[in-house]
Amino acid sequence: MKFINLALKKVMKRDIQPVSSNQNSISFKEVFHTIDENISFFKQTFSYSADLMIKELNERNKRGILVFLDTMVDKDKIQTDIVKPMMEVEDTQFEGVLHTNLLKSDNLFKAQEALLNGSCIVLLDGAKEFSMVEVGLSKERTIMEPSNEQVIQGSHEGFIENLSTNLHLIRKSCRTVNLTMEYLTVGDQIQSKIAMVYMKQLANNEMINEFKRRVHHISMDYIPSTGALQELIEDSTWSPFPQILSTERIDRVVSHLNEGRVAVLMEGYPAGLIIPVTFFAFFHSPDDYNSRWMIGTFIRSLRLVSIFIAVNLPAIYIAVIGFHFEVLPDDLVLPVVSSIKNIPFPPLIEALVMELTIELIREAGVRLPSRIGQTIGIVGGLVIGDAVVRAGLISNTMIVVVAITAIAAYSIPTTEMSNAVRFLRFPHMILASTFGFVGITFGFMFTLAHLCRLESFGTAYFAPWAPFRLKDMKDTFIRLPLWKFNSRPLDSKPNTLKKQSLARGWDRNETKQE
Amino acid sequence: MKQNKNRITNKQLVFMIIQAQIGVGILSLPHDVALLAKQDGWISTLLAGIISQAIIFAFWGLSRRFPSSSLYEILPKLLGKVVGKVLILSYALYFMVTGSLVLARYSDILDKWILPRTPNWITMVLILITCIYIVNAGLTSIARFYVLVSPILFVLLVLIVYAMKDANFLYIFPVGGHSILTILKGSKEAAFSMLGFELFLFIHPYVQASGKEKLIAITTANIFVTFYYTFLVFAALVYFEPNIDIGLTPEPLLYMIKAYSFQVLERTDLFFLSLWLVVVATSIANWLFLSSMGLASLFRKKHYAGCLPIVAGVNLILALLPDQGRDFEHFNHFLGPTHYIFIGIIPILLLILSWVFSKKEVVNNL
Repeated sequence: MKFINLALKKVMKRDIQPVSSNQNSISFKEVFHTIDENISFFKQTFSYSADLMIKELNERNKRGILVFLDTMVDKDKIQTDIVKPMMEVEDTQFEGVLHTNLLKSDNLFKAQEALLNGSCIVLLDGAKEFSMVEVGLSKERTIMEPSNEQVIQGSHEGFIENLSTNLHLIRKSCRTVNLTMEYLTVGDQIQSKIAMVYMKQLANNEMINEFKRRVHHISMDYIPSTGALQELIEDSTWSPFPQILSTERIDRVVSHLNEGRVAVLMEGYPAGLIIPVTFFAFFHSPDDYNSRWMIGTFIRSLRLVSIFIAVNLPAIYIAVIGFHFEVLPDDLVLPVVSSIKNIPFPPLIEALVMELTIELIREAGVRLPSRIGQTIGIVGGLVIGDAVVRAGLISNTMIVVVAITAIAAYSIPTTEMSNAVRFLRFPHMILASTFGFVGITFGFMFTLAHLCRLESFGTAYFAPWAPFRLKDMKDTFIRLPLWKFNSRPLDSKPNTLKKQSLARGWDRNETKQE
Repeated sequence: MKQNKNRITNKQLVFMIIQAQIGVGILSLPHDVALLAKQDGWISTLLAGIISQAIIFAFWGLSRRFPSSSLYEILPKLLGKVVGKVLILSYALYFMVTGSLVLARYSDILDKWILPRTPNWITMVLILITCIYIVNAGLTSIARFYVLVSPILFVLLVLIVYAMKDANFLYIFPVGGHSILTILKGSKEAAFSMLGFELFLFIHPYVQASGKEKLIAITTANIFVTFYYTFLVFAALVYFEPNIDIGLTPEPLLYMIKAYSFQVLERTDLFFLSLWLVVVATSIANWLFLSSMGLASLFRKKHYAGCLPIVAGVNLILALLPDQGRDFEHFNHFLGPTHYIFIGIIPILLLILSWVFSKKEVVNNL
């Protein structure tokens, strides 16, 4: 083990070479004296890109230029906000007319940044400063329900690709002065803007600092997506379990914010990352809170059972067929035997083939357009399932087991967790086929030990089960009535634990009066 | 965030001690005790609990005098460097031997009951790897795991209770029919199954609680284990005729459960054994933890995780040495006195020494 570690470290060391970051070395460049110099500066920095537009304008014998990126700006806005007012005014200061978002600066690097964000630079001859006018073009998708997190009851809003719209949506459903937003940038070459949102009074400071520290230390040319960000900041990458909850639902983000967690959004990606998060957060759906609590509890415990089934059912079946046939009750022995009698393969091969087929059908269905996807489902599920049994390759009972397992795995509301669970089933199956029940027990112990070790930003991942805290069980695999939720869960270490005292105050009030 | 690392709470201490105490012996304990004490085996078990409680008081006294050092740190402080080191090494070896005995018995039962054709070393390697994984992330995650798997003890209990519907309570009469000496002999057997509470001596500095709370915690654990074992012995005694039957059934509890079948589950004993594996794994993990901690403190290593593979390897070799079954007797005979020395005599001597020399740790409660 030590040897492997050493070898790994050696390989890793080769990759880790400090790159001298040239990004911050020069951060200031003064405006040149003549327009031509400035023009050549812009052209050079943007490497004569075809969409860099430099238009000359002559303002009463005073030479000036408009610089903008054709691909980033709205030309109508330039016309109405810059050109038209400048033509109309007579003698007044020209800043006076550029009333929208006028920013002044003398740093050409700022200009470069502003151009990339969709501003237009107005530079006059001989002036030491230039003005930046925000004329960005934005093409957004409409706000709609995220297709991977649909609910029956509840809000149907979801995040879109535009960061400021997303932040607006959060702020709109969470109107309090407590809500704090902070912008950070990541990426050395191509900078991406990320926003962290939290409740100032609730969120644990240590955790926020830890998050900032991790983001600050990311040294990467370009962070492609929230998924990459997640992988760069999560505690343990050697784990199948997701340790950061990625959601596209606003109501979900807001309810997590109210438990003292931090949401992280990234420009260009319609998902918010919630940190820190526990194992059980992946099994919650906003539906649970909108339906009656008994139903919610029932459905949640069903989901918990479904993880168990999804991980263990094929393994248990393999173990029973291969090792412990005597476990089956008498009446069940005959049907099972008659079904597996003529199958040429051992149960592990049967199970592996069928499980992999189902994974293939899923993968094929995802990539294809929805109409063909349905066809694939029918062909894959019905035709293959039926034909494979008739051909005598796979037993009937195995088809039943595999089908139940597949359904159980897909009932988990978060895709990432569902993937993790589906992945875990394979080692369990192999263990079961080599050691029977003993193998399953060891696989299970290994998984539990792994869950106990995992931490997410300093909080235990498997809370409130490990470490055990009875009080926080109210909102895990069960959901008690909302008036029981008097305190926030401890796992996010919120600054104020108390949430409410008498949620059904009228009830108490009435009995008092009588 | 960092300073809380490797700290456990008082409640976790309770469960750790329980899990450390209840181990492989759970299956054969009624047989071992009843061989000697017959129908009074359950009294023996109770007595064993009381004896361990007495030792626990001594442990606690020691932990009071050295609230922030484990036994491995106390030894050199009290006895000097050389003697201390020798004792640390012998403690580590003792834990290794005990661990490998548990390992050997585990694989023996597995061999008999579930996997007759699988070579023993494979099952041993399997459990050792799992235990290393449980142990090597530090005390906090060990404690979490132990608490998490504790409900299994109740499931086992429920299965046994169910089997008791066919019990014949007349078997335990006459109560106290044997001499005190015979009963005490039975207690000796039972006490071996109670071992594990010495874990307290090694983890007490990491428990976030006052001395008194720690005593309550460890006593709670001991009382629970005593009653748990007493009940198991009692259940076996009223189920099997204590003079002949129980002598014929080396794992009485399994034979008890084997007789029952539910609508969906025929061989309940397989289910029982699968759960029992977890209980065994926690106790093997416990021995691994203790002996690798000893080695780490011997070689002045910061973290014990590096020693785990070594300890596990030694365990494996030691466990493979005895020829199954027959040699356990010898093994046990050899281990019997060492148990007294390491668990009883040395800690009590240390306590007395610390009184005599009035050596004490200066506590600065800041």
